[in-house]
Amino acid sequence: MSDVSTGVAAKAATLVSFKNTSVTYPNGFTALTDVNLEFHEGEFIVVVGLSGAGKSTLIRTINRLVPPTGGDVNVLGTPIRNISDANLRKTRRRIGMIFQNYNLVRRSSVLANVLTGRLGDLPTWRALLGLYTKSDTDLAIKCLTRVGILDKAYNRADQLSGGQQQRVAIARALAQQPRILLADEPVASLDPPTAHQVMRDLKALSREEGLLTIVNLHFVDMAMEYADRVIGLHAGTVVYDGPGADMTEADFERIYQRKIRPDDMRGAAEH
Amino acid sequence: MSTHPALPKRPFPWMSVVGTAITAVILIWSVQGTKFNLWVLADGLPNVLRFFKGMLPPWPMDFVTGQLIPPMVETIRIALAASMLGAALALPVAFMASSTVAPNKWVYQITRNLLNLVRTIPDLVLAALLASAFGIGAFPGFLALLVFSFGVVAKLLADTVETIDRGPMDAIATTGATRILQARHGVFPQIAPEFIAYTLYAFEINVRAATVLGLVGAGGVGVLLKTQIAFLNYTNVGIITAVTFAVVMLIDTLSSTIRRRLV
Repeated sequence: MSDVSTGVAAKAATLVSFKNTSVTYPNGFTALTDVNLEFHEGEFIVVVGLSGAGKSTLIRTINRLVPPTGGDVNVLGTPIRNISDANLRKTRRRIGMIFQNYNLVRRSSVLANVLTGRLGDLPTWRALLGLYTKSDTDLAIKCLTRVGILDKAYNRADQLSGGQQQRVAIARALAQQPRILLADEPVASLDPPTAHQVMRDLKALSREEGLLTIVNLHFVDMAMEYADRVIGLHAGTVVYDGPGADMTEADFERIYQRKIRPDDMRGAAEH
Repeated sequence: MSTHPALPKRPFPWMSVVGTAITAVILIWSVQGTKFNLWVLADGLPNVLRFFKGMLPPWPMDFVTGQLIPPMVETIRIALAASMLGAALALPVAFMASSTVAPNKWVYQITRNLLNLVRTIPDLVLAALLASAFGIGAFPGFLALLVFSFGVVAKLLADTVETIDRGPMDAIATTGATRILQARHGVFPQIAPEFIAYTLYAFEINVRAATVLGLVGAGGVGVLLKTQIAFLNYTNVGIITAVTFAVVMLIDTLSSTIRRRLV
């Protein structure tokens, strides 16, 4: 919160705070060790690090896809380590998530996929029968318009290109009317121009909706280009926390434990 | 060519000799049990011929329209109702019997074992049991086929659910939806075509099964078949067989055509 570089966020509400959070998987692998971080409304945060550094675990702890095993995480005012199932579902409703593989129902229409973002807020009987209300459909249409693929609303999801499918996934997350957006390697399966387009979309959404957005990226140059704030992880601990633009060669080497290499860059030069 | 080294001495093939001997003994013993006799076969041949002659037109149409059509229709209705309702009951159970969707391994194991148990009961035995409990007629036949359809569809569907893409389910879980909703919206759309195909498959088997269910008093065309056999009325037996054959063929062809388009 004392971070002067994120001027917008300094006054904004704290939505996520990690308090001495550790995660050890059942197989004994420790993915996060004693992490302390605070994320605020409207921040666009990119998490970088090697595979296995704990990027994915950090993101997945926020919506408790991975439960913390030490310390706690406070998400939207609720400590989640020992949260009840019902309260977890309630908290998750305000957290959208997008995945590397989009995770759409391939046989369903684009609109049907976006509408699943409304399930958490529907009464059970309506949700079971798939009887979405007029306002749900209106919202879904708004979200599809927002990501620019309203014309594909009745196409089957698997007829769309990778970039379009990821936009459907973003629309599904938006349909939740979230306060936090998590993105786990959202551009890893996309070609460079599409990857940049998706990153620009995410950044714009974060700005316009005041969404706290946390993105995992493999590529440092993309992190620097889009992030308000970069979190560098190495072996489960935070080794960098600051604006992307301020990162130095030494910071890179602390995150990657070696000199930066061309394959750490997605590169704007490729397109 | 002629100077190749000599093969080592061939070991005596004990396994083949002993295996052949055992198979021969089993074959003779089992055939003796069937009282197989060529003379009896020859004696019965005229009956078989009469039966086939009965299949040929002209048919006594008042028998066909008055006595055959109503139970034939009843047979199809039993099969239809049993497959549709059995499949509907199978759907939630199939979710519980697959490790991808089951809430925990206890639910998974218990439903799996239950399904295996259900499928070990032969439908004719079940129909006979139910007929003695609920009285003779279409109802016990329907119940027997309902259980059978339920077992078949649930097992096939559970195996299909095991192979689905878990991604959509996870995505829906992160929106705060309950597990039932994850199954409904993340899994069901993935397996819907298979679900319909398995229901049709159960229907095909049910039509065939429903024709013989009558033999144990469980309604349908089998009841008529049983009485006509009892009266040694081979012409009518022939007609019943021919019509049943045609109906089963027609339904099989229709149903498998639809199934092929689905999956």
